[in-house]
Amino acid sequence: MDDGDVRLMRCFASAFPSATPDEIRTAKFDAMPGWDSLRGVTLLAVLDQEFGVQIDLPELLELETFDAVKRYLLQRGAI
Amino acid sequence: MSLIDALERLKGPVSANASPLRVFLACGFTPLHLGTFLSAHLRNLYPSCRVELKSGLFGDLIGNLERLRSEEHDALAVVIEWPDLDSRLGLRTLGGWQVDKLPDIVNSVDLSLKRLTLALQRLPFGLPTRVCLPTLPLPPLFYTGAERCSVFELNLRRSVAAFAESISFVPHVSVVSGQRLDENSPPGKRFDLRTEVTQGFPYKVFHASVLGELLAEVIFRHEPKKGLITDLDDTLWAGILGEVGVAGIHWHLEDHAQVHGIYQQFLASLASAGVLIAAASKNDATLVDQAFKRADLLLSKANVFPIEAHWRRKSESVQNILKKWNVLAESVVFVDDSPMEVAEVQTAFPGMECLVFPKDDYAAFWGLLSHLRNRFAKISISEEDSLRLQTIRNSAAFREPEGEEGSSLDDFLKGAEGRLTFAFGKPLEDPRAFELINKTNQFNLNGKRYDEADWSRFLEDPRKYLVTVSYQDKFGKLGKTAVLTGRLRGKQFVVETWVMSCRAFSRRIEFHCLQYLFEKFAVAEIFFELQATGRNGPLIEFLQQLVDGPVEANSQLSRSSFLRKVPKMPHQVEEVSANG
Repeated sequence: MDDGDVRLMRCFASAFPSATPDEIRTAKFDAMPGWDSLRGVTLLAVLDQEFGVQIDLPELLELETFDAVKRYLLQRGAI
Repeated sequence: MSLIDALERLKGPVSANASPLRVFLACGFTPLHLGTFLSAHLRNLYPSCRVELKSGLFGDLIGNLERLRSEEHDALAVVIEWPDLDSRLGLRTLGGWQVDKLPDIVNSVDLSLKRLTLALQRLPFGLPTRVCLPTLPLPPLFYTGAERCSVFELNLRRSVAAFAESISFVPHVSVVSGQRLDENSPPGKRFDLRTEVTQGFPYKVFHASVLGELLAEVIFRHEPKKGLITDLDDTLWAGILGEVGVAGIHWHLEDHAQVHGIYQQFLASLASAGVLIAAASKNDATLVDQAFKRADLLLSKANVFPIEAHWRRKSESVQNILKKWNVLAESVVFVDDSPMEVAEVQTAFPGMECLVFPKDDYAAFWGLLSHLRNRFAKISISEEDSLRLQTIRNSAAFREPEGEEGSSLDDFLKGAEGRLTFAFGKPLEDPRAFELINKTNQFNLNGKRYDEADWSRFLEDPRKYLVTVSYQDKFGKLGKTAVLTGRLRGKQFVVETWVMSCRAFSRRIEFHCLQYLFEKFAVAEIFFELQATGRNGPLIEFLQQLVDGPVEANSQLSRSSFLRKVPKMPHQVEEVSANG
């Protein structure tokens, strides 16, 4: 795992404390253990603090997965 | 604390038998990250508790308070923002900001505050309740613009201030300090319109963090400290009393010593609030007594008890004070300008909060006052507070003084990593030895003073020796702290002058000085041209530890007696030539 991967995993793990790393990597957000909109908002705030990137909740839901979020951050030069 | 840190803090395990800490967070917005930060900070402050945070319905702060079942909670945090008082002061409803609506907004806020007051007054006495007044800016609804206060804005702020004042009289209610919040969270960087509109959460994450921490701190305050022990020289006043005398110590603006005056005023304020104040100073007790008689001292001697002024260790003074006060070290703060004294007391009393008085750093001094005010913070002053000092004074008069070692001085000095430098010779350009001899009183062999002509003659006399002693340790440099002059007489070294700065006491530098003389001059005895001066008690007390029999004028010390009685020598020693 590269540094960006580690940081992103930490963000997801803090927002979804009951999800395993495998679940974080493979599941769609709405299938993630403990998912609700408040969790989603928490993830957005954590991503903002960690990577300085503001994403809206609908945009996050369109991204759907951990890998898609990573690509999004890469495209914006955040990682 | 970042949000990710807070979330991870909350993921940490909690002991199965941890007692619950049930806090209700009453606010009109989605608590979201504020709840996370509040919970995380409470976990930090109360690691043995299981924090349970609840909140009420969105957009109904006052209703949440009116419906609160107080028996289900251990504490209540109320966070008010302007929209809770009138939704038109928020940005999630569009009720209109026209000029003709402004008076009605003011009236509506007044009514909401009355409802809030009633709701808070109805809460049971035992429920600690902390109220945070609006932290966010008012929206741009006033026609006067941002640079001028509208009369409507002033009315709103007056109403909130009056509300705060009225609820502050309710016994279980405290108002969170807006000033403290302003210090840590810049007012212009608190509001987040994006998250307010999209999530119903109006705070920037940083502001949520600061507010969460502040709420956690005020929800269950630590017990306030009971007493403060202060040093005197260069702390309560500027100057070394033993060197400059009673008239030479200062604490006023014109003497560039204002911080000491402010500190005195601050301690007097603490004393008036029932905080015990004592002094621990390596000093001449008679001089200290005279200093406390100065009419311009801002801290009355009546407010300081006990005063420990002698030349023994600070930790011994602190021990004596704790016994007279009958309080635990954990309840006391110690303040001294010397990092070494602070470290010595800290070593002896690990549970005591020991602080360095930053006499040359205004910002740090300001921080110290703020910190101390917090440490001694009380919600109210009781009658018992005003009686405490007199009660202790009376009790102490009947208590026998007991001698007890506070800690191992050996261990402390060893850890100090002290280094002594003996400069042997007579440098013509260095005035420090001359100055030290002429201004030192306490540790002074005979009070002998030199004028410049005397000193020149001494320097030119080949039979006379001069040793200047410098000291430094991990806490810093003391510089040249001791001076010895003398001559050889057969197998004796005759000490004609010996002075040491009182700031160097309790480091066993004086023992090192004698050891140096025995070794440097390979003599069997040291002869002291001692004269009691009435002020050189510390030197006489020191010699009494070593000399067989009473210490009198012209006492002498044999090498064997010295070796038999000398304690562990803690410092590294080096010798240099004073002549370069």
